[in-house]
Amino acid sequence: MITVGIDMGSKTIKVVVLRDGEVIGRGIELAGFESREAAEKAFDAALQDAGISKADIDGMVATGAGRKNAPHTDRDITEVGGDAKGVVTLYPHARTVIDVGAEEGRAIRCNEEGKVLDFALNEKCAAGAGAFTEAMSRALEVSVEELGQMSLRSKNPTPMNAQCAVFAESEVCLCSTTRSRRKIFREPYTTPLPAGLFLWLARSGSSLTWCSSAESPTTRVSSILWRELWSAR
Amino acid sequence: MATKQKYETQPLKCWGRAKEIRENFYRDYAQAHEKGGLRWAGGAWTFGAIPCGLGDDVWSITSEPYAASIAANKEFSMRCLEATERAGYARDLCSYMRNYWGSVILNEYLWGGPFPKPDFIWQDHICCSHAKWYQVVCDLEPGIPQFCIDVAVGPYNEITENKVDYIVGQMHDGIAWLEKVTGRAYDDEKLIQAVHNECRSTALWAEVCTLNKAIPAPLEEKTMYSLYVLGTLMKHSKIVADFYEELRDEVRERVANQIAAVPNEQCRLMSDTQPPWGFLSLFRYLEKFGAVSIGSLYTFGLIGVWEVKPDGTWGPRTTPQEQGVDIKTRDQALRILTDWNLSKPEWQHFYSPHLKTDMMVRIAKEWSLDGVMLHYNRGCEGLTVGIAENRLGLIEAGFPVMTFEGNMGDEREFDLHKTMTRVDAFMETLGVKK
Repeated sequence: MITVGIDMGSKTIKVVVLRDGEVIGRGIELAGFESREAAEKAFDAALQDAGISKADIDGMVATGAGRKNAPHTDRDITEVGGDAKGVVTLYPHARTVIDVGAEEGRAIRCNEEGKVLDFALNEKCAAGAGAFTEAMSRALEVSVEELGQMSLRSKNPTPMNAQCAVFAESEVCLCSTTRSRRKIFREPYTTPLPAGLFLWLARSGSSLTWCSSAESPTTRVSSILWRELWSAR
Repeated sequence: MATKQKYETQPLKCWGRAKEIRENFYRDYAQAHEKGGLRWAGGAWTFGAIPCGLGDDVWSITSEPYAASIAANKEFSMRCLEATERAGYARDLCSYMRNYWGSVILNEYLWGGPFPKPDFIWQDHICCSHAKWYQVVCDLEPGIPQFCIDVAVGPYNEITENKVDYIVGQMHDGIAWLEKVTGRAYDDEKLIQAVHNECRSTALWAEVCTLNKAIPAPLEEKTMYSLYVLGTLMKHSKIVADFYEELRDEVRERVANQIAAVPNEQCRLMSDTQPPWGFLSLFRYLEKFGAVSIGSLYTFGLIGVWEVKPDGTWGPRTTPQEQGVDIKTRDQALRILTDWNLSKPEWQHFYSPHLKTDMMVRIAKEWSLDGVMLHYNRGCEGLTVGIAENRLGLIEAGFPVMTFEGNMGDEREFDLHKTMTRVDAFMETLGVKK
């Protein structure tokens, strides 16, 4: 049985083709202004990757912020519901999911069947979301992929004081004029600022998790992680 | 596509009358001077029965319902809010207050013409915002005499004679003040009648809400807002008391004949705090899922007065008239008015979120709810205080809860699309499909 899932995210459109539950094809496109066109491209890319045609598909489900705009789908599911079902399918012991999206962070508590028991979403704040990380990578003039790797090498993270994403960006710009910036480029093994950023991101996600009465084990899904996995294959 | 119709539905027969009462209220206030009468302004929680002793030609405007009406008019609300901010008032203040002040600053009445200046202000301190509200109005429109009763005496389960004396004493002073500022002699018989009307109307509203325990629910919350608001305008009036009796009888008939508010009812919810008034379409969106909001502690308990019945359930409080109490004196009327108002559910949770949680869990159980939607309302610190604790208490009691941030009176702080997305996720959680 061949099924297709489309995640119509606010930033990227991701398509996955499965045969009897195994991934056989993927496609990804930036959503842009014309998300439906982008979805068609991602869909075509995924079919090509899988080596199948549209007629071979038995069912198709959409999720994501733009799911109502997804082409070819039979039905849609919210991101919260999709996160829970998807994660429990991949990691049967997971009971809490943290999804760091481009604009929205979600913490979800679920049962062994992937049924959502409780969830919490960030409110009007980009803190803890992917868009913030991309803004920080631009501020530091490094790619998002590099930012993650650099942060893991740090032994001495720079603490971030701001709670708000906008003020955090100001703080980064200020820090970058001090020794930290010169350290980034002269001493690649000491990268306190990126480490501080990701610690800040993690704390934002953790506070959401607390709101949803999280249970172990916890699985974290993020667009950044997805892109790293994509580029690593 | 909505789920299949399960129940018969029909509009309320008394709906037109409700609209008429509300329109007359705002018209009468504006035209009070033309009729040779007086007009006063104060909060919806104020002891509105008391100025009735000044005569039958005394009309009022209550601040929060007026501000909520402004909030529902997005264009006028934005002008009011921006006028208030230009005048230097902070954006994180009570949004009702900012809408009201804006109307005064712009000198525009929502129903047309200049803002009708009151002859006096009759207020009470139910929250920090109410304490300052009309002080600022007096700054904006100097020369309006104001009397404010301090009501911070604690929750009803700790009421003592001393606390009642404290409030009643202020009421006696207030009546003397009213006579002085208006030059009118006070009529205690009119006060007594107003107190009886208030007890009757607020008990009847509670009875209407109790009838929503029925499955299917005869009323849904969006409609209930337009009905309960009459009690926030003039709960002390015979007009509202008579209307609520007519409404009660019609709702009883709907229950007896299984007439539903939402014909495909398959999920029962309650909300809490004031809704985002400019976006009541959210409730219509719920109906696509067959989800009915049967009310809330806010809808039930801001006007309704309740008691625990002999069978342990919540129901309308027995009125003094039903108990055979014959009010003979001013002091007796004021004591009954004080005790009656202090027992109101919404008054309690200013003091402890746990008191509110207990009431909310009771509603969730007795009204057979499947879930709760909590509005983390940035516009009202009084009704939102402790709401995160309420959420935990409801979850602990076994009820799924969805939260959404917003503002009852400032549309800039509410995202309808995102909230609807949350509703989608919540309905999935409850296993409810469109």
